[in-house]
Amino acid sequence: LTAPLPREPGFPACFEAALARLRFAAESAYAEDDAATEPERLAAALRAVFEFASRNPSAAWLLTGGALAHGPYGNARYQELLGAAAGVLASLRAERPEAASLPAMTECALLGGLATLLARRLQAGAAEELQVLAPEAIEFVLTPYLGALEARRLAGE
Amino acid sequence: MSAARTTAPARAGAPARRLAPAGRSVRGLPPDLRVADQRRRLLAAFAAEVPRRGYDELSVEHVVRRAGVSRRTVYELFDGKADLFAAAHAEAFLSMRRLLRRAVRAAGAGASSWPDLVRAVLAALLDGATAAPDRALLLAAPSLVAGPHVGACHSRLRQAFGPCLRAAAPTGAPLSLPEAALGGLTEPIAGRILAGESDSLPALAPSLSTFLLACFPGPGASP
Repeated sequence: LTAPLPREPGFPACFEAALARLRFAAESAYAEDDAATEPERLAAALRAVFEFASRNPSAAWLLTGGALAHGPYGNARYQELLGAAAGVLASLRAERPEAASLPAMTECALLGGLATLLARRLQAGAAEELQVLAPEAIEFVLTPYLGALEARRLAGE
Repeated sequence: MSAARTTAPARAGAPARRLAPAGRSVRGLPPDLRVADQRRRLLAAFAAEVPRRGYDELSVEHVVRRAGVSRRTVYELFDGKADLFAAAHAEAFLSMRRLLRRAVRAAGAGASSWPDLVRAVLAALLDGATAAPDRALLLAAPSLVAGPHVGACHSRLRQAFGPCLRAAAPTGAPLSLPEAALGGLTEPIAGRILAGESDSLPALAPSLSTFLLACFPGPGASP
């Protein structure tokens, strides 16, 4: 952990607790089907993230918009979270030759887009929209790696 | 990337660029110009202070100190922190929109191909962000700076760019694609600025063009 210490002592504990719950949800979904392909596993994990956010809006806000509004510590932890997720997402570059040559910032941009979709609904108190939005978000994230048609198929499963 | 972005902005302690130094007297200016100068300094101070503290922890006192104006002046011109944010974001947005409109005109929107237009607009956007990184950050990372006001910021960007992007999306693309792509576009820009690397923003142009053109290949494109 490289984040600078926050002024508000309670924030790190709340952030880490929320993150642990999110990770558990995403990793459980990722590992649920042994026979699934990597794209299918990641689609399941993304679906779980949106389900988590819709059921735990306060925790999800803490991990996105709330973290960023909290200053350097929150921003640093948010970036570390995105960086870890980007590493996982980059495994999809092996799926197609076109994906291997995507710009280096692709994962950062895709996850930033995902976070935008989440944060705006959470801020607006519209967490119930997130489960409906999940297929679109999954399609957005998977399209550069798999192509639009395959991404749409996986997003709709 | 994440590690690079964990540090506070490199220029956080520096005064806002191209403005009178904090505390500099504005005596001698006519009253209307003095008010305009104070307002400008407050907005610049807000934009410079908020990334290093976060919206939640930023106080009017921080802004006052950097701007070199009295606390009373802040409340004569604004209704408080939220109003300061709204004014700073609106100013940053209008400034960027003017810049992008000039870029579109220069590219000859009617005659240019969609990819050429995307590249021209992105180049102008990145040049503008390099010249005024604090203001760009207000637009690129509204979650960071705006806290509870993030929704209004995203709405403004979506309304400005959504229709154009929607028209260039492939048939059957998700309705939320413009919103997600705009969020995705701003993430690397905010990252560079927060890492104190705003001078390198123009180098992002090829990657961001590729990203945007992959999301929005042009009017009438199929998936």
